Amino acid sequence: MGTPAILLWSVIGMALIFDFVNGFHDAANSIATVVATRVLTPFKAVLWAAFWNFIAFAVLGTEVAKTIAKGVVDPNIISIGVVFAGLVGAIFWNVLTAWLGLPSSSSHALIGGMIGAGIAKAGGHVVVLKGLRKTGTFIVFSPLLGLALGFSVIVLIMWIVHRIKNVDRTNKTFRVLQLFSAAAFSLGHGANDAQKTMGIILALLIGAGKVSEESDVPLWVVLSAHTAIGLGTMFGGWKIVKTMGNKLTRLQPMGGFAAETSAAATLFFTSAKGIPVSTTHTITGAIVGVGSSQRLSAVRWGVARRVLWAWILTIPGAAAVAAFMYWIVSVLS
Amino acid sequence: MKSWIDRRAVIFYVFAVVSFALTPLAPTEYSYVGWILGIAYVVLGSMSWLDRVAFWRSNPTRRKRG
Repeated sequence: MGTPAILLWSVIGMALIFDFVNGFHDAANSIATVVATRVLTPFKAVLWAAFWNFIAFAVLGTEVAKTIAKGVVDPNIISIGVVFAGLVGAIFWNVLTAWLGLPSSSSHALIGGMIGAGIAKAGGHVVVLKGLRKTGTFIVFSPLLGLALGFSVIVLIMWIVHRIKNVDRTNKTFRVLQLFSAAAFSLGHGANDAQKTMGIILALLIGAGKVSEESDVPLWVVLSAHTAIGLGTMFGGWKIVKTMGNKLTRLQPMGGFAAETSAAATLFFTSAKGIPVSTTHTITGAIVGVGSSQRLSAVRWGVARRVLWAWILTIPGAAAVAAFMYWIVSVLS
Repeated sequence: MKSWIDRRAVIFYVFAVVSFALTPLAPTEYSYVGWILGIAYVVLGSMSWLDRVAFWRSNPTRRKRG
């Protein structure tokens, strides 16, 4: 018996809502530095970021989507119930951290949710260890890459511009350049994060027998995922903008440019390699790297510590909620 | 003596250790990322430390204040 169409479409709709919430939650990452350095007003900044989020589908491939669909839990056990429970776990975690103003990771919430629901359905053996190792190591590697690049780029820039006497002109130049770095980061964000939803929808379609396991991501899935994340970004989460833009460290246009360029380079690399990483982790690492180039006290380590705890708790937290949700779904059905 | 300790360099060295420690856990095709990161943090840490040493040597007044 095939999967009832209404159920399938309802869960696809829910995956797109998750994508919308992801854009809403992560909007801060794309625009925090542009808003903090007053290059753009918050409204113009979200429009700018949403545009580049959407355009990303034409630039980077769909490798991350394939990793999510086939490299987190065994695709043979994925059912509507598993995806539904996984999404509920991830959405619950995202809403909780957005409410608390914590820049946690929507991506790891989604991966945690899928793992929790998968284990609740069929046990620990369904977790794809190779995919988990790839995702797990890059939980740490991606912010470290962002931090090393952020620190190196800002040092390089300072070395280049330190002879220029006209500080106003330098700031003005970097305010303009920051528009491009914000666009690049939004492009990377759209590419990596929208693909996670594409991966979930692809897994659902494979599970329902609508597409074969070897097939590529259908174009309508690609377009709808990018539309959802772009719309979510337009409604962005302002509480997190404040945390990312001002509380971690105070940034000048030069620093904003360095942080976004470094984070964008990390996201381009990981998207091309099909590694699902957290855009939040990456930009946080880059901002801390830029801040620590001045002096360590420029970084507010208390806030950074709170963020770190949110990172550590995300996968187990979302997995626990998803496992509980799957248990409820299986009892009800 | 304490003024010669560069906290930033120490943190970078810790990041280098973390990167090297995680390298065996990464899938083989991505282990080079861990190696590159580890080496990068060793270089950044050393440069940061040298910068600190140079600063303290060229600013004796700041050095006296500790």
